[in-house]
Amino acid sequence: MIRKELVAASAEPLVLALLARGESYGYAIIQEVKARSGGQLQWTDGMLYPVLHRLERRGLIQARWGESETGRKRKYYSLKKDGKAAMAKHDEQWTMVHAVLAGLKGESYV
Amino acid sequence: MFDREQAITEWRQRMRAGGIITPPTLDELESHLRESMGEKVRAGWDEAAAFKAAGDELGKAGLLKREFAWAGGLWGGLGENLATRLNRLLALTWVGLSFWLLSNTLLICHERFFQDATKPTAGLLILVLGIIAFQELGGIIGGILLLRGAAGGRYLICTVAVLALIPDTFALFHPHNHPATIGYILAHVFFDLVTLWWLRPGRHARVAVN
Repeated sequence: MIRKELVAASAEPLVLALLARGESYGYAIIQEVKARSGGQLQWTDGMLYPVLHRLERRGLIQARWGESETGRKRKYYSLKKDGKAAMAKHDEQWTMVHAVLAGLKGESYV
Repeated sequence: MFDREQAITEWRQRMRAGGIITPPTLDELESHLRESMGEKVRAGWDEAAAFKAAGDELGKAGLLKREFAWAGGLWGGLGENLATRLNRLLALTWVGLSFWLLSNTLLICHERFFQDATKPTAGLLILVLGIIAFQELGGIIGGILLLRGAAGGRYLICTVAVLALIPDTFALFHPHNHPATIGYILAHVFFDLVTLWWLRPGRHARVAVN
């Protein structure tokens, strides 16, 4: 199981990156994260929504109410321009951290 | 016999009682609950078990409430529940104040038209007091709409606030023409400006109105 702190830190970049691929909604986002991580990233489903609302407040994503296949209302989210910029910044930082860790790992076998 | 709608209604009430008070948020969580349940039932789960598991996956209200409570950052926006409560307070203040002003207006109307020896022209009196009453009705109706979450409520109150600002700003520069004290006029102007700032477009995304 992934450490709590890492799950929390990765929530925002994951959501932004997923929304960059197109509009989506809460349930689908959670299922995708579970699937892509092979079940390692198990968010408490409800905890995604505060993250989505915070991102919306900060102007990084926008929401609209639409309908599901069964006709029930469903809230869809999409990435905004500021969200794309934030995502790029996250990408930069995660890449940097990963590069340092990978570099250290390489050295330890010398 | 498991009653799905009853169970979901009770779940929603528990979430409200636990502190998740914003209806659009409750709608979103409920939508998730239904989808999660639906998928489990399609996979062969018993409905009652699917409901319980889906509810557990969403999490307890208390835990979620803390997460919804703070937007993050020192000067980050207000949390959803606080914003909702302040919205209700603003709406109730508008309804209360407008109702009080309207009853005063009608009293004055009654006095001036029926009691006063030197009656102003009926037409002029009705016109002036009619405009004031219209504004106050706008405040009452707007406040009620805002409480019920109708978008029209915001626009109506903003219109009334702008209309109210015109004579009040004028009164600030010509205090002698106005029956009220400077303090009252300033308080009125301040309240109108705060209302316009609070209900401004762009806050729509995070101000869950109910």
